[in-house]
Amino acid sequence: MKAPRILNPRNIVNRMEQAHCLFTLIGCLIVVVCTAAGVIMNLTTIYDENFDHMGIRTFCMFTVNSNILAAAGMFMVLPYAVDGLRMKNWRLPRWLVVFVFSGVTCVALTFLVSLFLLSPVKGFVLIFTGSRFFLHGVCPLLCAAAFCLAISDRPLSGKDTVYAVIPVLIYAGLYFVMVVVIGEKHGAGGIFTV
Amino acid sequence: MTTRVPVWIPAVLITPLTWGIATLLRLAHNHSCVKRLQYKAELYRQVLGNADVREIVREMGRSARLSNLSRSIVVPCRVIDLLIATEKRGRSREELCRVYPDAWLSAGNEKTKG
Repeated sequence: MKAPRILNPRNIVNRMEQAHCLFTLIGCLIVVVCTAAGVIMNLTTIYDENFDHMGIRTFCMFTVNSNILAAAGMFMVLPYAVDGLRMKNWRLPRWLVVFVFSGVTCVALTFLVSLFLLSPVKGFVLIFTGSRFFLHGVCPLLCAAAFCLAISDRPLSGKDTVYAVIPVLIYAGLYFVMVVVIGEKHGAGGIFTV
Repeated sequence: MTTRVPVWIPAVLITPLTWGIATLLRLAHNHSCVKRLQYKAELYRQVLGNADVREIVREMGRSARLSNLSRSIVVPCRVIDLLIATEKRGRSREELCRVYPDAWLSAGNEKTKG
């Protein structure tokens, strides 16, 4: 007589875990590709009449640095998402979730500054077209969506908020030294910009 | 050409704004996590009904080994936690986390004999 088949929960668990991994994988991949596209567009633009931080000097902009930080976090999530798909068990180390949290906070700040400070001054179209379409708009929104909806299964503590603010404070410190302390007249300030 | 934000704006506005953004993102993330866990627990409760979680975990370990998911044992503690949340027999995490590798190893023996 054939033994009754034990209910295999693995199918249900597998599907849930795989859907989660797949959503994370796609979100992270789009962020990485869009950031790469935006940065490459900036690097290959030698002259832009509206922005003087093109070429290699693009790495002085907070926008670019924050997007690179967020994309680096998302890039590091990719192996875990692939492993989760293969093993059907989604897991992410806590340090990486906090790292992604820092990046997402930075790009969210970039998005809000672009929308409410830069757009009124330079115009919405200028701030959200070309490479800025990716770096000011698409990446921050996608990062926030991926982080809030898929990145982890563990709630973050209030202490993690302190870690999330550290990259912004580091940039603020550098900016203060270069622009205020040394000053543009001495040739230092010109390289840093928000 | 460079639009330089006046220094008082970062000092007065952007630092607290960053803190606010981080807090909002953390709250949204935590809310989403809790909702997702509740959804999964409810789904498992509906699908698994009154099934014995011990047997389910044993089957998970067995099928993971037989389907060649991994050559090393990775105990899915998070899934086990969710399964514990769906049953009322009061099984402990430690007990179920021991069942998984035992089932995994016995399935390995079955495979070798087969």
